[in-house]
Amino acid sequence: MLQALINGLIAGCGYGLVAVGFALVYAVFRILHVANGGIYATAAYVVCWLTVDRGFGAPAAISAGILVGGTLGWLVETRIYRPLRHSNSSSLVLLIASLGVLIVVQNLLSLVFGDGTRTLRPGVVQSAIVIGSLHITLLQVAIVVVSTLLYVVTSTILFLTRIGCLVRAVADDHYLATVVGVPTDRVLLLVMVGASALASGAAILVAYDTDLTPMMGFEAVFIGITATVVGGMGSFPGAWLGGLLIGLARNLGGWWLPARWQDAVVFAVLVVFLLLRPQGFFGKPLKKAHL
Amino acid sequence: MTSDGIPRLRCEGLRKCFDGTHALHDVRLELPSAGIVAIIGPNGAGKTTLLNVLTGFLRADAGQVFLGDLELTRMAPHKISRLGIARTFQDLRLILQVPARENVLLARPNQKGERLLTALFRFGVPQEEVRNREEATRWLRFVGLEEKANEAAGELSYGQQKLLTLACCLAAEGRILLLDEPVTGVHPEMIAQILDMLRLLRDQGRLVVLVEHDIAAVRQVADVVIVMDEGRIIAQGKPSEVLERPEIIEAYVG
Amino acid sequence: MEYLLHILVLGAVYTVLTVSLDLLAGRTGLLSIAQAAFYGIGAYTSALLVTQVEAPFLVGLLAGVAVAVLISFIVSLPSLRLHDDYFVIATFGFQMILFSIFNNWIGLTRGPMGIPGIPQPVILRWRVDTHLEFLVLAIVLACFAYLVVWRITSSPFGRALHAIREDEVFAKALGKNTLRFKVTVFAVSAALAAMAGSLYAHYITYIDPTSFTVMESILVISMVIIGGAGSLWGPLVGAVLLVTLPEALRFVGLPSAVAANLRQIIYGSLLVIMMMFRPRGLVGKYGFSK
Repeated sequence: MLQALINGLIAGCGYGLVAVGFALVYAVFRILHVANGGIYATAAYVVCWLTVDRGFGAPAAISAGILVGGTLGWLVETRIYRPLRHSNSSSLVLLIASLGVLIVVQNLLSLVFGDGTRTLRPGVVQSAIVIGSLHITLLQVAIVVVSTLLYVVTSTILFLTRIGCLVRAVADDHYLATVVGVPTDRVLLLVMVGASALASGAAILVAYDTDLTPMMGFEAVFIGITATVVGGMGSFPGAWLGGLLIGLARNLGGWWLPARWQDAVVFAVLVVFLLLRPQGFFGKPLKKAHL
Repeated sequence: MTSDGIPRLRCEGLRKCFDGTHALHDVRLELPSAGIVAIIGPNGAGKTTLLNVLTGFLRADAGQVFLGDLELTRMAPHKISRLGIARTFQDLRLILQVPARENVLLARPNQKGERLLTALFRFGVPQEEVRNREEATRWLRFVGLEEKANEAAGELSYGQQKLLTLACCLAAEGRILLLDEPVTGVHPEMIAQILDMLRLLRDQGRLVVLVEHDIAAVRQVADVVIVMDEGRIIAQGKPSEVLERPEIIEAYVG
Repeated sequence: MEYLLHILVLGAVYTVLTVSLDLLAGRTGLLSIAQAAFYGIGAYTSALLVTQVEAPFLVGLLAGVAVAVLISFIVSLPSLRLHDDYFVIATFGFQMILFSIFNNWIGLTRGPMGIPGIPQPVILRWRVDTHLEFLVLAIVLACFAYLVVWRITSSPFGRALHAIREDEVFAKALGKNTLRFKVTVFAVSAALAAMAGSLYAHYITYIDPTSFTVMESILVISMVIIGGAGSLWGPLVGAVLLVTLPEALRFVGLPSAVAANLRQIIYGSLLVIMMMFRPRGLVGKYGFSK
C-alpha cells in the first residue's frame, strides 16, 4: 500500500503540473481550455516519435516537444480564441471551439501514430532505489524534482515579477487592464504559450511515467478539471494540491478496488467536491450571475 | 409595521466589504410606505450595493433587511421580487432580441403557463395570456411605448429602453420600485415625462426609490433625499434642506 | 433500400437526442456533456427489463425515462445552484462515472460484453419486425419529442427559459425561480434522451458501453451546434447531416479505422468553423454573444 502511495505522489506531481496549466488559463481567460489536452498529447507524441522512432537524444526531443506545444498554443490563441474574443462571443462559444480543436488534434494523432499504446520507458535507464519493499526509480525521482521545480518557477514568475503582475491584472479584469494601458492581447498570448509549454512539460513527464495513448489528451483534461475544482478554481497552490490528491486517489483507488474503477474514483472525488465544497480547498466559489 | 398597516422596507446594520473596501458600513434605513425617495452620493458611495442587498442579489456580511415584520435578509432575489419589490439595473437589463411587449409579458407574475404540466397541456393558459397581454399593453401605454410594443427591445432608444424597464417593474405588480438611475443619460424632454410618471406612481400609493446622479431631477421630484458617502448615510431629509447643506455639496464636489 | 431505411431510423433516433439537448443547451443555455449517459440509462434500463423480466416495450421505455429523470435530479440539484461552468463540469463528471458503471458493473450490465438479444418491440398487438415498421415507430417518437419541446418553448415556460438564457439576473429580478426552471428542463431533456436510448436498444437489439461514451455526447453537441441551436429545424438538420456524413465517407472506401478518425476530425473542424463563422448554425436563429 505504501508503494501505491508513493506511485500516487509521483503521478500526482505530473497531474499537479497539468492542473496548474489548466488553472492558469482559467484564471486569466475564464474559459475551460479543453484544447490544452490536445497540446498536451501532441507534445508527448512528438517526444516519443523523435526518441523511439527517430533515435534523437532525449534533451533534443524534449525541447522539440515543448516547442511544438508552445507553437500549437500560439496558433490556438491567435487564430481561434482572439478573433472570437474580439467578436464578443460568449465563453460557451470558446468552449465549443476549444472542444473542436481537442477532437481534431486527438484524432490527427490517432491517425498518424495509430491507436496503440506507446511507451517511452525502454529508452531510459531504469535504475532504482530500493528501501525495504518500496521501489522508486531514478526516473520517478526526476519527475518529482522537475515538476516541483517547474511549479515553483511558475509561481515565482506569477507572484514576484512585473510580468506576473501584468498577468494577474489581466486575469482580474480584461477590460480594465486594457483601459489602463496593459497590452492585454499580448499578455494573453504570453500566458497561453506559457501554459502550453507547461502542459507539454507535464505531458512529457507523465509520458515517461506511464504510457502514451491517443486518449491521453482527454484524460489530461479530466484530471486538469477535477484537480482545479478540488483545489479551487483560481488558486495555483490549490491546483497543484488537487493534482497530488488525484494522483493519490487514483493509485490508492487502484490498489483498493479493481483497476478498472480508477477513473470512476477520480470522478467520484470531483462530484463529492462539487456537492460539498465547490470552492475546493483554497478557491473562492464562482459567483452565480455576476452583477 | 406602521399606522397605515402597510409594511415598510427597512434595514439595519448592513455591512458589506469587497476585497478590503467597505461598500456598506453599518447602514440603517427605514423607507416610508409611499412616496419618492432619492438616494444620491458620489461614485462608490455604496448606492447600488445597497440596492443589490435590499433586493437579494448581494448578501451582506452583516445586518438585516425587513419588509414590515418579514425578514428578507437571506431571501432569494426572485422571492423578494414576488413580494412586490421591483427593481431596475444600472446597466439596463432587458431581453434585447425579443419585442418590447414580450419583455413586459415576461414580467407578469404568477403565470400558470410557467409550470411544466400546464405548459404541456395548456389548461387555462390561453385565457391567462389574453389577460396578461392586456396588462402588458396597459403598462406600455402608461410609459408611452404602446406603438413600439412589437419592436425588438434592442431597437429602442436608450431612453425608451429605460421606460421599458419601468413598464416591466409595473407589470410585475411592484408596489415598491427601486430604480437605478432612471433618468441618467436620457434626453431632457424625456426626463420630464419620466418624472411625471414617477409622481403619478407615487400618487397611486407606491414607493419609488431612485438612485440618481441628476441632482436637478432629484430636486424636482423627491419627497425625501438620502445622501450616501463611503458606505454610510450622511444625510436624510427634504431636498430643500439636505441639498443646501455645505457638507453635502462638498461631498459631491470635494 | 434496407440501408436507406437504416440511415433514416438512425436519423430519427439522433433527432430525438438532438432535440433533447437543444431544449437544454440551445433554448436555456445550459451545455451538458451527459446526453450519452442518459441515452445509455434509457437503453440499459429498457434492455434489462425486457430481457430479464420480459416487460413489454412501452413499460421498458417508461421505466428508462423514469430512471433518467430521477438520476437527473441527483446531477442538477447540487450543481445548478453554482456557476454555469460548474454545471458543465458536473455533467462531464457524471458522464464519465456513468460510462464507468456501464463498463465495469459487470453484474448488472455485463460490462463490455453488452446485452444481446433485445427482442423487437411489441406495442399492443403490433409487432415491429421490419425496418419500415421500425422507421414508422422512430418517426412517431421523434415527432413526439418535437411536440413536447415545441409545446414547452412556445409557452410562458419557454419565454422564461429564453430569458434565463439571455439574462438570468433579469429573469430573477422579474420573480422567476430560475433554479426550478433549469432543474425541470434538465429532467425533460434526460427523459427524451432516455426515450431515444430505449428506441435504439430495441432497434440494434444489442447494446454495449461503447455506444454511450463521452464522444457520443460530443457528437450530439455537434449536431445541435451545426444544425443551429434554439431553432425549430436545427436539430433535425444537424442530426440528419451528421448521421449521413460517416455513411458518405464509407462510400469513399477508406479503411474503417481511418474513417473513424476522419469522421471525428470533420466533426471537430465543423465545430471550430461554425463557432468562428456561423455560431448560429446552419438554420439557427440566435448566436451566443456576451
